[in-house]
Amino acid sequence: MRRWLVGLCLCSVALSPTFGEEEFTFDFSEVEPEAYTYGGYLEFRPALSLPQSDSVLYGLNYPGDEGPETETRYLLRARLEGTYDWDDVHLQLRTNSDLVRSDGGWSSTSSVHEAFASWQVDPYLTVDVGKKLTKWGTGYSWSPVAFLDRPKDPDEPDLPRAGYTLLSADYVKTFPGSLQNVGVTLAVIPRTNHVNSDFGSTRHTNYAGRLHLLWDDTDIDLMALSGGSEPVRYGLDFARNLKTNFEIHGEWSHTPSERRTSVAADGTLRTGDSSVDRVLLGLRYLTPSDVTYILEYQYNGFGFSQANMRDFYTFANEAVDSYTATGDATQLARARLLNRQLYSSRPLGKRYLYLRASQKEPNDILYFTPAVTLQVNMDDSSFSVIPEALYTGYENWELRARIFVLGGSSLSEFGSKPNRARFELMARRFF
Amino acid sequence: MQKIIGTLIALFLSLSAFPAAAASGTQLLKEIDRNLQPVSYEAYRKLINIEPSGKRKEFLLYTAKKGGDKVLSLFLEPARDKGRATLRLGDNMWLYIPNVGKPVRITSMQSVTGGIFNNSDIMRLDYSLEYNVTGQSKSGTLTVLRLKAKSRTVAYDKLVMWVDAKRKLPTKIECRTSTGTLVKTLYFKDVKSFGGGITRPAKVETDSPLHKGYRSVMMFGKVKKRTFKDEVFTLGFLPRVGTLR
Repeated sequence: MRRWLVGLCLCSVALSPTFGEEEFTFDFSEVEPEAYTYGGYLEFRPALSLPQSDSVLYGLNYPGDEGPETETRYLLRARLEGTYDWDDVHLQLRTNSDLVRSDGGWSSTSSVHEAFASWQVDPYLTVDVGKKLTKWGTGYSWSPVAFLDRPKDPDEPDLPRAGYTLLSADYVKTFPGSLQNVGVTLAVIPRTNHVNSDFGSTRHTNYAGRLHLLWDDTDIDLMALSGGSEPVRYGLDFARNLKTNFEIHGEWSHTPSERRTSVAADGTLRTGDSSVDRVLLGLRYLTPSDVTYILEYQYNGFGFSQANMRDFYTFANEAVDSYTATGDATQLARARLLNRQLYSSRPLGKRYLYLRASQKEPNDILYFTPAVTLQVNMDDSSFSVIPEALYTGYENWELRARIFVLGGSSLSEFGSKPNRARFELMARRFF
Repeated sequence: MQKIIGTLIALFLSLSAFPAAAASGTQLLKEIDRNLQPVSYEAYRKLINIEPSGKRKEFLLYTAKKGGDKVLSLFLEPARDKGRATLRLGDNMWLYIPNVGKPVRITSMQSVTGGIFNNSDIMRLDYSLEYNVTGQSKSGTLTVLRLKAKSRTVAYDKLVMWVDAKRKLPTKIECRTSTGTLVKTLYFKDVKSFGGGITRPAKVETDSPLHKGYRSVMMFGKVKKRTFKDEVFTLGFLPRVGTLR
């Protein structure tokens, strides 16, 4: 009996926290720097779309036909990146390759997103040459002052994008006092038939500059673009933390003269030059219960008014009707072309509200982040809602499920889309 | 009458002793700061988040600090987070994610790693920079410091710090809200010498009554005094933090 009692006591001591101390190791070989690094991710993204057969753009895709009841799309993406450091020179390469299987068949694209050399002349001055993202702007969903970058996808603003080929120099200096940092960036962006061929419409050598200030705990940037390929642009942005859990930011860009083309209800083009302002105002707020809200108001002076968009959708509807009645595809082809060239960019309209709410680890479920994103076209009241669930608990895996739901009247931006909903899964493996 | 005079004298003595205690507490806090982290240094850290099931997630970071208010960190592992960098200048914090965009402002109460350590724990400034000593007492062989945040921008309003007064190093810190609610407890363990006169705990563990059963551990390696140019602690340098290693 006594032996039993001693054994029981030993067991209870062995199970106590003191004896249960775990061993954690830190192997210093893990932190030895290497000249080469490589990595990236592989991604598989299947999606199922539910068509909206009475919508304008569905009609353009399937005029007079019974289209498919559902559409499937499988994306396999490989993103590779590597760096090499040699003395004060840093080389960087990032590539993106997509293989897509959709109801229309197979397609693939490959592109170099970044390939540049960066020379750190001294801690104050850096010179970059090659294809590079400049990442100007403080907005999350949209950055009207990102003059040297391709636009973000508002459905997934964090998605990597390709940069432009440029030569740039960054100079930064810090000071004691309320003006903490001053930085200057100067960039030259050539545009030829082979280099930066989608940077504006004409061949020129373009110049851009940015002045960055960290002044009294506020990020302030002033920037300008000139040269001829794109219209002359000026911009400013700011960002500031008002509290530890509350940040505000904003951007404003002004284009003195920009050519804009829209489509009248009869299909004729209306072209005119005018000054254009683009504005973004936003905030980021973290609640005590770990919900992060990102709220942004977008004003896109270049966007189409509700009347402009109604005119185009009316023309597109009539082009479809004309085709189904007569078999003449002339207007249909024109409507498809104009849709692709003029009415597919985003933001398409003038005024938007963007709201994203994400809850970190609800009910103590570690690495699980549900979120919902709402985009509203404030002019035609159409909207897109995207609930999602992200799990990152498996090392180097990202698993995400999203549902896109679109709503609005038939002649509105989101109501005219060919699909009313889309279910999307994503599995991303980093290496 | 004698009683009243006696009381007044006692009151006077206790009031005059309070600033002296606070002053010695402040001095002790400054010495703790210097022992925990040199004015300017670099280090490697491993962060381990442990779930109740025992499942772990690990992060490897390179960290550089200069003066009282400049800290930056670079994620080396896991592959998903590699290249991410954070910068703290006083109350301002930014997160840089390669590919995505320019550094975005983040808040001290968020956590870039998940788990119980938040951003202010990962990019911690000197305690004496953010807190005033409001009380000092003895608890066995340990000294207990009571700290109050100097401003509302500090992540935790109150700290209770148990200090090994001989080594001038904390053994435990309770982080509390302004109402006294316990947010988390930090346990400082495995005091060891890193060379160069740096002797500090090599491991900091934390748990939280708000996340029962979850724990996080921060381990220190290669802590070394090093001076940096101020320009290293700027937004433009974040993509190049790796060149410091």
